[in-house]
Amino acid sequence: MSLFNQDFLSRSFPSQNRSTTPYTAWTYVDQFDTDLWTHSGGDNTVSGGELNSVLQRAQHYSYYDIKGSAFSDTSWVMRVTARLSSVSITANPNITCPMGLRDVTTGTGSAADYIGIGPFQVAAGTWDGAEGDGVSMQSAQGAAVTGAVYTGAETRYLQIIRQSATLTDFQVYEDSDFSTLDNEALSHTTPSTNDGLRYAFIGGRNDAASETNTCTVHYDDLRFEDATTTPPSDA
Amino acid sequence: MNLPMFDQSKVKEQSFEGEAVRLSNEFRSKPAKTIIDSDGIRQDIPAKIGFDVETADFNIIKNWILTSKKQSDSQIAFINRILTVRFPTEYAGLRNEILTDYRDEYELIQSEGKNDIDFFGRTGFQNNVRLDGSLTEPGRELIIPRNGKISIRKK
Repeated sequence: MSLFNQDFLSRSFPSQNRSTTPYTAWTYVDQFDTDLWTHSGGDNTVSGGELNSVLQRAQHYSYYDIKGSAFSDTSWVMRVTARLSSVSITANPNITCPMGLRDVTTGTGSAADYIGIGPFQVAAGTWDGAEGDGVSMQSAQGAAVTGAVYTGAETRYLQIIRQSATLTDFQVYEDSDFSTLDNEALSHTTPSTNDGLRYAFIGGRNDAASETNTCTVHYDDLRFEDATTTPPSDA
Repeated sequence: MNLPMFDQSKVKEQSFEGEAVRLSNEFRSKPAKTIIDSDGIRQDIPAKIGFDVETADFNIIKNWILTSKKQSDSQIAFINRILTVRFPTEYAGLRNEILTDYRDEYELIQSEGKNDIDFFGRTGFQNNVRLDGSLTEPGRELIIPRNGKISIRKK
């Protein structure tokens, strides 16, 4: 009798994709298989294994208490896959839908502490850091410009590292191994009073009264590690 | 005593000294300024009255501790370390004004205080904010590699 089931030799298996990578080294992971998020407004949904944000109206947002308590005020790491499927930049003003951590779950127009990264478009589109210390998200965007430009649909791998109470790195990578930077990594001075960050948060901002700019971004493989500046292995 | 002004050329460094510079800058006065934001809208940012931690009077710093509305743990630890180095006698006299749950830290700061930029800047890094261990996450270590850029990793 064979030790192995010979049937396996002829059986086909589904190919592994990003959404099935277990990320076992990470403590806090959301691959959006089920919807654990609270949504305000109708622009954000969890479906198809992604958090989908179709941003065309102001102040729609979603959050998830992924840890159950605040992250360290001096060190944490976030990685997320961001797939832009459509971008329409027809006018200035701004539109953005970043992913990050926030200290409250109130609307994006309320004062809050916030650190995030995501697509940002004015006259052009760039992957930017977003940061606010006791301000609305409307005031928080574009605080840290990475210079990584997008012109249409693309997938990028975004990383935030809070290096210390006053220093945050925003990085945009071209590959899922986080080895090739889209542009220069950015170290940004962060107020140490930007603290008590607890909720994974995606919040939209659109200043356009006419709402002519639109942006559709799909987030996947969101993971956090607390109290470290060294990303765990993604294996 | 006054301290020499911190070296602003270190402000971008991922080091104890860089952290001390950045934390000290959070206390300084800032002039009013006007910016044109990315929407093309003018924003007038009012001046902020602050102080230089290296030279400010004891009572000015003490007043910040007592009245500032938003304070980070790193700021509190940083300014207490500044006080114990610059004003050891006056700082020792504050014992009855220190909150009970900060009193252990207050005494540790006095016993371990030294006029060293690293002593000040440590307060911005994981497991180094407080000496009493109350904000310590077990299983983490601070690494200073050859390039000098501090990192925190799991043991």
